[in-house]
This record gives sequence, C-alpha cells and structure tokens, in this order.
Amino acid sequence: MRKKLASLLAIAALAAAACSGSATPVPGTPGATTNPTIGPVATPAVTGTPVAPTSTAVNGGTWVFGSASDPTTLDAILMQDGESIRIAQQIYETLVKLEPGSASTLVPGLAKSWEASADGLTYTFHLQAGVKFTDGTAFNADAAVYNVNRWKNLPVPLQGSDYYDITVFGGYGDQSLISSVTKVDDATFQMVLTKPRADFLTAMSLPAFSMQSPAALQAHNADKAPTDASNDYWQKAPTGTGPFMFAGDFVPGDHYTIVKNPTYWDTANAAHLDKIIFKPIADSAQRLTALKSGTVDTIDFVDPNQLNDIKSDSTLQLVTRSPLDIGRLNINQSVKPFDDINVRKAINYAIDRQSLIDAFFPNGAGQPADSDLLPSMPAYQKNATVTGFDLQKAKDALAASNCQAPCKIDFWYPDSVSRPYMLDPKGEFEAIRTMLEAAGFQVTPQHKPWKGGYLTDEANGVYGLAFIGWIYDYADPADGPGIFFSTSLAKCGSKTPTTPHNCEAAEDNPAVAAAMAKAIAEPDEATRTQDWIAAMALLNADVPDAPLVWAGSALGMTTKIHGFVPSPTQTEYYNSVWKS
Amino acid sequence: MLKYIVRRLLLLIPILLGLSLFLVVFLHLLPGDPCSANLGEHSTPENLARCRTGLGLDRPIYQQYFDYMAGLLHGDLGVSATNKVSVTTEFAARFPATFELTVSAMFLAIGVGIPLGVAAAKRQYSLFDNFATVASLIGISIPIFFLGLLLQYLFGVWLHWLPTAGRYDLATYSYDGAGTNFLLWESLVINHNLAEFADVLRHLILPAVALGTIPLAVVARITRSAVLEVLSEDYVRTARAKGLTSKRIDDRHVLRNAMLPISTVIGLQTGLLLGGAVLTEQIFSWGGVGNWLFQAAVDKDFVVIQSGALILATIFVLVNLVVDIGYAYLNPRIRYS
Repeated sequence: MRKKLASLLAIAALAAAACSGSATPVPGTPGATTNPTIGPVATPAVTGTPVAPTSTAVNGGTWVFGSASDPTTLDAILMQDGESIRIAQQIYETLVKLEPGSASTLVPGLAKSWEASADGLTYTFHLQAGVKFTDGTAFNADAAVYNVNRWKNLPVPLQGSDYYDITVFGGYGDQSLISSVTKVDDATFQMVLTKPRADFLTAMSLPAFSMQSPAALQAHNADKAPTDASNDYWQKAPTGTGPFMFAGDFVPGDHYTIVKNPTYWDTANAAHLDKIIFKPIADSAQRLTALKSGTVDTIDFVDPNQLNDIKSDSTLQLVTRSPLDIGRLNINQSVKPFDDINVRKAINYAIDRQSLIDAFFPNGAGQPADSDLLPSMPAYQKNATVTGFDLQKAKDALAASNCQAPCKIDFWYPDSVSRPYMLDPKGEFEAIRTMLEAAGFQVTPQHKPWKGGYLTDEANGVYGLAFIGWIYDYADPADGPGIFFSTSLAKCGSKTPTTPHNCEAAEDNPAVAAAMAKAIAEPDEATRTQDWIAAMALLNADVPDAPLVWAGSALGMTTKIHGFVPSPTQTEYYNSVWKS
Repeated sequence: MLKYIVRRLLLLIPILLGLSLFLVVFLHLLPGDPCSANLGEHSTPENLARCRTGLGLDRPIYQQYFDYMAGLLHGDLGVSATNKVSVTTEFAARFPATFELTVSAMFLAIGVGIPLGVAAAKRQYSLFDNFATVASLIGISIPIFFLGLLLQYLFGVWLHWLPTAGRYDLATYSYDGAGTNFLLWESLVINHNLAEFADVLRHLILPAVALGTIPLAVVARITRSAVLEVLSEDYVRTARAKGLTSKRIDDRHVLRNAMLPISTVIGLQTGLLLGGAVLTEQIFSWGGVGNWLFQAAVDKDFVVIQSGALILATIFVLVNLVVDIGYAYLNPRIRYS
C-alpha cells in the first residue's frame, strides 16, 4: 500500500510539473536506488514473488546460474536477447534504472538526477560523482556524450543489429529522435529530441542504453562490422561501471564468468557475491536435473509442469515473475475472410481461454488474456477485446459474416519453438482448432519452423490467422500495441504501400494510428493514460487480434540463495543476491 | 607412402569445394535466415531488411559465395551471424571439449570392446559369448538420449555420485590460465593438480559412457567376428601345431590380423564422434562442436554451418588417412604407392 501511495505521489508530482507549463525539474535523489518515489514516469509497480529476506547478507561465494542459452553479444546497443541482457545488466549501468522488481518505476542510475523541459524535448542529466569504468577510465559527461552519439550515429556496419536503438530513436543521424547531445560540464550533459516521446526516460532504462567505456569500445574495434573478426569487444573487453565485471573467462557453449567489481562506486549497493558463473543449459528438463544434482544453484524458465517438482523439494525454492507478455493470435485483415469484422469477432468468442490455460499453463503459469495490455498497466481496461467465451455468439457472428459455416480458413502455428507465452504451439493449435470448428470454421492446419520462415512470413503479412506473441521490455502500451499495430510506408512483403500500412495485421485505421501517436507523444502521465485508453478502445473496436494468455515465468533455486528480486521485465540486478 | 599421403590430401580440395558449393545452394534454399532467428518477435519488414543489409545477406548468392571462398583462401573462416564470434575462435574453444569426450568414449569402446570381443570369440557359443552378444546388441540399439537421461537420473539426481552437466566444477576450479581448454591436459600437466584432474574425470564419466556405449558394442561385435575368422585360418592352426603358446599366437597372429577390420571401424567411429555428438552434448550441456553446429543449424547461421562442415570434413578425411596408414603398420603386405 505504501509503495502504491508513493508511486501515486510520484505520478501526481509529474502531472503537476507537466501541467504547470514551466521547466520545473523532477529530480532524482543521489544513491537512493531503492526509493520508489523517484523518477518522472512512475506507475504502480509490477512485481513477482521475491525470495523472502532471511538473516544478514553474507559476502563472498560463487553463484552458478543455469541459463537457457549463450549470450549473443555484450555490446549493449546491439543486444536484444534475454541471456545477453542478463549478463549485461550486472556489468553495465544505465542513466536511469527500473526500481528492482518493478516494470515501470524509475530510480537514479548513473544519472543522480535529471530534468525535462516543459516541451518534453530537452533532457538534462546530472551524473553521479566519482564513477569509473572497470578499465579505470572515468565515467563523466564526455563518456556519456560519446555513448549517446554512438547510438545516434551508429556506424553503418552495425546498423540492423540494433533493435532497441532503431525502435526507440527511429533512425540514424538526422533521422534519429536525438537531435543533439552536448556536454554542459564534467558532470552534466543534455539530450535534445526532435519530438516529444513520453516513454523516453523509461526507454533509457533499457539495458541496450547502458554506458560503456569509450576507451574499451575503441581499443577493441567495436564500431567495425560485427562480422569483422577484429571487432572482439564483447568477447574480450565488455567494460562498464556495474557491480560486477568481465573477468576474461568466457568459454562459448560452456560458461560465462563475471566477478565482483572491487571499486564499485555505489558502495551501499556493492555485490555480495565474489563471482557469478552462467552455465548455458538449453533444455528445461536438463536445467532441472542440473539443479537437483547440485551442478548449478539456480535455473531460469522452469517448465510449468516442473513447478510442483520444485515446490515439493525442501532444498529448493521457487521464485515467480509476474507476467509481462501477451500470447495472441494475429488476424490479418488483408487476407480473406479475415477482412470481415464478424469473422474476427467469431474467432474471439469461440476460444475458451480458461480451458487453454488449464491445459497448457498449469500450476498458475498463465492467466487468460482479454487485452493486449496487462492488468498492471494503468491503461488496461477489463474485457477490452472480448467479453469471454460464448459459443452461441461465435456462431451468430459467423452467420452474420460473409463466410458462412463451414467457413474455410488457414490457421498457422510455428514448429521448433517454445516461448513463455506459447509453450506448446502445436498442442495449443489443436485445442483452438477444435474450438473454432465447433463454432463453424473449417480449419486447414499450416505450419513452418519458427526460425525457418515463420517469423519472416508472419512479419510480412503472409498469414491470415497465426500464433504470435510479445514480451514487453517495460510496462507501457507504447512497447506493445504501439509497435505491433504501428503503420509505415516500409516495404511489406513484395509490395511497397502508398499510404501508411500495418504489415502484420493490416490494422490501417487512420484514427487508431493518430490516437496511438498522440498517446506515445503525450508527456503527462495521467493524460497519456487516458489517451491510451482512448486509442485502445478505437483499436479494439476493430478486433485486430485474439489475445490468449498472459504468462509469467519462474526460477528454481537452492534454499542457499537469498536476496533475489524478480522482475516482470526479467532485467534483474544480482548485486543483492547472496549465498549462505 | 609420401606420394600416397599427398594424393589423399590433394583429394581434400575437390571434396571441400563440392561440399561448400552444395552447402551454399542448399542453405539458401531453406526458408528463414539469421535475421529472423535473431530478431524473434521483433521481426518487422523494416527490421528484417535492415538486418539483412547489415549482414550482407541481401547480396546475390554467388557474390556471398565468392566472398566467403576468398576469405577462406586467406584462412578466414568467417564470423557467426548470431554471436559475432569468429568461427576459428569458437571452434578452438569448443573442439577440445569434443576431443576429450571422443577420446574418452573411444578409450572406453576400445578398452572394453576389444577384450570383450576377443574373449567372446575364444569361447564361441559359450554362456559368456551369448551374454556378450546380447549385451552388445542392447548397446547398439539403446538410444543415446535414453541412456544419457537414465545415467543422469541414477548417478546424478538419485545417488548424487556424479555431476550431470558441464566439464568441471565451475564453483571450485578455474581454467582461465593456460586457456587451451584441454582440461585433462591442463589439470594434470600444466597445473599438476590431481584433485582438478579427478574432477574433470568425474565430469567425463557419464557423457563418455553414454557416447561410448554404441561404439563399444560395435567394436565388440566386429572384434568377435574378425577374431573368429582369423582363428580358423591355416596359419593359426600351424602355429598351434608348432607348439606356440596361446598368448603368443593371440598377440602375434590373431590380434594383429584381426585389427584391420577393427581399426577401420574405430577410425570411422572416431571421425564421426569428432564431428560432435549432438545428443550427448545436449544432454550433458557439453560445450562442444556438436551442440554448436546444431544451434547454428537452428539459427540458420550460414557461415558457421558452412565453415563447421568444412572443418569436420577435413577432420574426417584426416582421421581415415591415419587409419589407412595404420593398415601398413599392422599388415606389412599392404603397400601404398
């Protein structure tokens, strides 16, 4: 309750600042990395079940962590996979951070405070004093400006590998959202945007926008093409300011070791552990075996069918994360008969989401979704897209459509993949197929390997009805529907549209696009929430998809591990972890 | 002999050229590319196009092939599109793991398989022979994944005797000094640490047994039939008639002649295992070549698949060349010219 109140106060403070029309700063507080009241974009926190605090933390020890795969890069701006981010989160730091365990509350990071101008275009960051990169060079305004300039003017060979850079800043050089970046003094710098972006500060908390040592980046040719062998920055010298640091012990396929940073600037939040070793174990059953045999101390992404196995073992503990994703069926309005809104409604009414959850997300691993937003988001509205399973309504909607029963449709699902929101695509497909056929559809199964053409075809709008999903990076609609229902003039498949087009779902309603653009730019939190509610109402009136499930995830760890704070975003800080 | 070796090595050129051509065509016919694999849910037409340009995948296939071959001639095996690590670096890091696992598995296969086969042949149709035959048939037919999981559960989870994943106790030891990644060698010869050596051996036991069971059964079966064949030869009967001891006959005549077919099988099995034992490496989270190439295939990492296949083809040819040279040693009547 106290936390919620504090967050609401922060929202009120932001609203007051924005409404006043002045450049009144909304500063952060030095070093208070656990203060939830700080930061201009503070919404009620979304958390999981943290490891219960026990006795006083013990320093030292090695934590062996069974991760799901190898990292793919530690050049922060090029990261997009969870296992890279997991390590990067410990060795790098961002200007602002998400509060541990939260998906939306901002706290100071390498910037001890910041100010936004009233027009939402100029951000001034005041940096923490006495911070050094682990290579001994200073973190100051020069280093920050170097990093921001690198994001803005990303070298051509790196362009295309930088998902977050292009998604947040929209382009490079003159096309970038960053108009300019200037040093004010050694401890202050300013970023000027070309247009307001309300979630800008939250986006700056993404691990991709971590501060890296300019000296290390240059010494290891990080600006050369990723496919140039002389660019060995991430394997040989990933250098940040975080509580842990690279120790020269990365063995691909075997393990990745980071050690405590002995000169970490924020002594109150220094790491307890001496060393963390990430051991990639691809298969979830093998991860559990490794945990039970004592080979590793912790595993991530426990299979829902294994949850009880861990719960019943007195030497192990289960740590759960709240959902921050959405498993859904994409419905492409440019493919017949899905251009008919009654067909789209019939699909939504026909799916019994609860029975889907019971069968495929057991032991509380998922919840039936009625929106692409999550209940933890302020703009979420209950039953936004669907009002629940109703077979008769499904039949009636189909009868009112241009596709009479048996209405023939192609229904796509991916092979060779399991995602948190889609653990068993084929099984879920079969279940939904039965539901759709009960409502009068005649389903032709279609499938392709996830990485063998499915993702490309789905993105290019080839499929009419297809499984897909989204994992939010932070709890904001701009990082969900704001992306997958956005329109552009970019080439879609083999066609180049003449008017703004949503390639994946053909959700081309100009009113939706305008409402989402307004919401994305609105700097005032309360107004923005209302804007998103309005935008989502317009969007949902078009029935652009069929939300299915919000799925959480869980970690299993021995009872010797303490201080782990799970986050729905999966970007967790391991400095608080200790081993008894 | 030298001429023969040079000729065999020169044969590698058309083999590798043919293989690279086949792979480049085959891989590009498959749907998907590293970009959709890397981008996942973030795949949008714009992101995919930008990524393809960044990785040079938007160039014509023939141009990609020629650029790749030009790099190859300069000793550049390329860089992974997934983790941006050069193929040479990653192969050097992973091959020692596969090598130690292969050597251990083959050590088991040869050390147990040959004596088992010889003993069975010498007691043909006895209870022992029947037992060995049934055991080797089970060994050949048991799926590796089943055996691996069974061993893991029994010795790892239930009895807590042996570790179930990785090459050494990560929490206790560190091998970032010499960096050869040949851990048996490093622990014993460089670090002179018996405890480390024992730890590496403990980690090797389960995967080596899982991987070595099939070759062991094959070697035992081949040994039995080869020894039986030699035992019925006239020169063995003559040697026996001359009063030579059984041991001398076995060592000098039977085994040496029987070793020809056995060494062929050992060579083939070793060559195959060095190419990576995908299932075993997956089950025991062994950071070897098999796991790497399997993941590269899943991720459509063309460069890694291509270069990996060329390296493995070279290794396979070299191992079999060694076996062929071994023939001449085992049987002086064989002459290569």
